[in-house]
Amino acid sequence: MIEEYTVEAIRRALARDPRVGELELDVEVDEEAIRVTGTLPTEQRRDAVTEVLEERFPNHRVENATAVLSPEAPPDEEVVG
Amino acid sequence: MIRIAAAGDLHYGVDSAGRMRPALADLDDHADILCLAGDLTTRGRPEEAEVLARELADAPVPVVAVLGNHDYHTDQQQEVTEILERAGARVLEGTSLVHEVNGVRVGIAGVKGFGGGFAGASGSEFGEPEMKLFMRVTIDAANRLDAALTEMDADLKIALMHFSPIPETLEGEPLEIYPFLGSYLLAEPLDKHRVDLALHGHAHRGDEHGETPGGVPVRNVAQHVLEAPYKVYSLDPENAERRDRSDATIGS
Repeated sequence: MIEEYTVEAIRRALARDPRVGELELDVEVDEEAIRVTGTLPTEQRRDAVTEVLEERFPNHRVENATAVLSPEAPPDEEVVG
Repeated sequence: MIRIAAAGDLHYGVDSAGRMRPALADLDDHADILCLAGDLTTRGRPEEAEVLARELADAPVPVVAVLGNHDYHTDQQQEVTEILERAGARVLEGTSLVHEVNGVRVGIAGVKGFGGGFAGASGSEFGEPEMKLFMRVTIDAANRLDAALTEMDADLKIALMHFSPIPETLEGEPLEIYPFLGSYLLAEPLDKHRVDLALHGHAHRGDEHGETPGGVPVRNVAQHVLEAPYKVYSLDPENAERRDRSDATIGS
């Protein structure tokens, strides 16, 4: 498949699969590997990215470089007006 | 000062239990009201909303929310709304409310909004029925935001949306998807009503800061942008009052 179409097929899989359900992940692909970056809300969904892509694209190596949001980061404050 | 805590794009799932608890536990030390800017769930399923509702039920400050596109995905947005409201949150859609904080009437008008693009590059209500319908959804949302702001009698005016009213807070997103991320039509009512702060989410790769053409501060509060569970925006009601007096003078 042409690379650009593969990127969208991957993005579609990540958005539609209920284990992930994320639209705003960045995807790069070449003949051997899929690399995914972006931020996910939980560890489980981060793991699910690898799981879904390994199932759907078994001929590619999956590099899951996504991050997980910290639930405990201290609150920042800004005076707006 | 009035302290507004804000966050968007929580994307709660059944695997999210407890994610907001640490942030909510001492929220009243930092803020007077919590605003949630949509995408509260991942797929808009009631069981996802239930997980968040259990945590919001214990929030020590009033919680005001709008839904986002993710909350509509399985066509159960009404149930999602009801679950969150049963937990004590108020979910706005073309509606407003006023909370009094230390004698200051803090008004919040909310609408999910929709896409369309921005001035000079916006879609038009023209051509195929599908295109006209797309733009009418946005026009209708902007009109409902205008109506909600019109009816709101408050000292401080806050607008809460999911989609963005300006392109500046989308910077970092691919330019090609801007029309799916917001519309300038949502900015017009903010300037018309001299809103003190506009909040939105939706654009995970966007920028936090921007302002409307008329100078209303706009903040993209997607948790991905904040890199924190929420952020606090402090507003001085006396400054808002001075702005209103100045507008009245210019208008007279």
